[in-house]
Amino acid sequence: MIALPIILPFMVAAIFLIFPECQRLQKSLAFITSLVIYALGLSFLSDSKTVLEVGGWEWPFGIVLVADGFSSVMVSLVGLVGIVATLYSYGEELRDRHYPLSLILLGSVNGAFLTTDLFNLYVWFEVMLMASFVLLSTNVSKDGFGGAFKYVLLNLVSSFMFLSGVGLLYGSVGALNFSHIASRLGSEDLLSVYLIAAAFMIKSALVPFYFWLPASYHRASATVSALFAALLTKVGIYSLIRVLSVFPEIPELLFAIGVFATISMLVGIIGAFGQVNLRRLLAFDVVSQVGFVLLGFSTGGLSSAVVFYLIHMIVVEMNLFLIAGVIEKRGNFIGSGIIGFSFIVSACALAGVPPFSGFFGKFLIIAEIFENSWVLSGVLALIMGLGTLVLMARIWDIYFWGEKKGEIVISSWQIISVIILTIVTLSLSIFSAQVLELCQWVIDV
Amino acid sequence: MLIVSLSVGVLFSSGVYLLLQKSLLRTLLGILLLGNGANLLIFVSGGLKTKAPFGKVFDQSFADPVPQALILTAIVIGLGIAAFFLVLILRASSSTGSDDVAELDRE
Repeated sequence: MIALPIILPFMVAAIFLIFPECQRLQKSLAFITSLVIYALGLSFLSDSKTVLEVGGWEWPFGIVLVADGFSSVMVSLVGLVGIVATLYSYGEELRDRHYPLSLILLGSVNGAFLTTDLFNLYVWFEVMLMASFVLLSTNVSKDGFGGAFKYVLLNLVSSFMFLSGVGLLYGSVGALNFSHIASRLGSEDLLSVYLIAAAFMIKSALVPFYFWLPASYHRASATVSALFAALLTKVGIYSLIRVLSVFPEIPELLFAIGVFATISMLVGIIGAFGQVNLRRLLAFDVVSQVGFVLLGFSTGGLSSAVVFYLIHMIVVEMNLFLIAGVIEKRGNFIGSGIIGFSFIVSACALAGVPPFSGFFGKFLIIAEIFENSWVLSGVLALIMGLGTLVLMARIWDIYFWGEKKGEIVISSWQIISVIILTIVTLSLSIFSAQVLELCQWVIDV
Repeated sequence: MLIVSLSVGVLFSSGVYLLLQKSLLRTLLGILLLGNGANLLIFVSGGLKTKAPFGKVFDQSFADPVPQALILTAIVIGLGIAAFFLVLILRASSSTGSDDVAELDRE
């Protein structure tokens, strides 16, 4: 049961590869698969902890898949992202093999969320990277190889760092399972933990390791870049949080993450102001959001606010990338009121304007930051919120108040997918108390 | 032990050196060297023992099978990545007509 969110997408992707011609079948099956992942994630939530020892190998010898609160929430979000991306892709001309590759991406992300084995995590990272490499580089235009090249190269370097860290750690503690490593970790193993943490930081696009992200996201098609924005960096963040909260606390490492995260927020916002390409601008904004959530983690540890903000980030960033895809396709002017409304909701949520979801997450995280006397970072986080708001106002000014250019036809599938995410954002805002309670429960179990 | 450890260092440093070159093909070679360096590192960190891990009785003189399994997996993944990377640089260089990394960003 617990392996199903991993196995199912891979099996369906294999079927797609056998029948590459049946696009219609692929579209509907991809939708159903995402729906099943979503439902499975929610059903895991009803139990506090579901454990599967793969192949009957007992802990700590085998690979153990664990669906506890945090990973179940993430799996159900992967399902939601899959549903929305599939619906959106109906309105877009996509290359062959989009659906099998995106399903492999979803399956491997689920694997990374569910596993508690360090080497297994490496394998899921690689599967995820391979799927995203191919999705990115088959979609780029002729002059877009620079972005794909940077993306591939930097992520490969991070994989090798991760692999070396895992090897060194296994050599000294003789364990691969997170909690098993944590029980044996000594002060002489810190180097390997640093290596692993640096690899996660590259994957979550923290400054100074973020260069691959703004270089590559806007090269892909709108669906693919929304998938990337929703999932790729979050896997890095999730793994970093997961591993570091299981391991005994390493104050130096947390301090370094806090400093990098603060710089990320600034660099992301400042970089975004210099961009003319809409999706590239949003990609820089992703960097600053990553910085914010990791700053929250490094100062206050794994709290309900961090989980809440992670959920909010996935939904809102994906929605903005989808809206950006619609805008870019139709020139500079958007006539549709629904798209405009959705943009306002997502932009305000991203900037943290009350009463939208970002406000509650930001409020709690910034309160934590100040409580732990990271005053400078807290002030910068507030400034970053203001910067995001100004950026969003600028996008509004350019793209929604611009001159009308011809008749605009937006695929209704794309509008539907944007509406779904907007409704999710709104319900995160309205039911924020309940969601925060859920997040508290998630980290308690 | 010392020789293998030193060769890990040599593999890593030459891999990084090649990655910093401007030529696309050299970055591929750099990736390959880094991958092999990481594999060898796991191998060394598992301890260099001569006895194969077969049989029913084990003691400290037997090699640990887990690093070997890890390396096997990492080699397979590395092969896939090298193949993909080769195709990527092939397409990139045929579209720009040169082997230079800096040419990729020219629009």
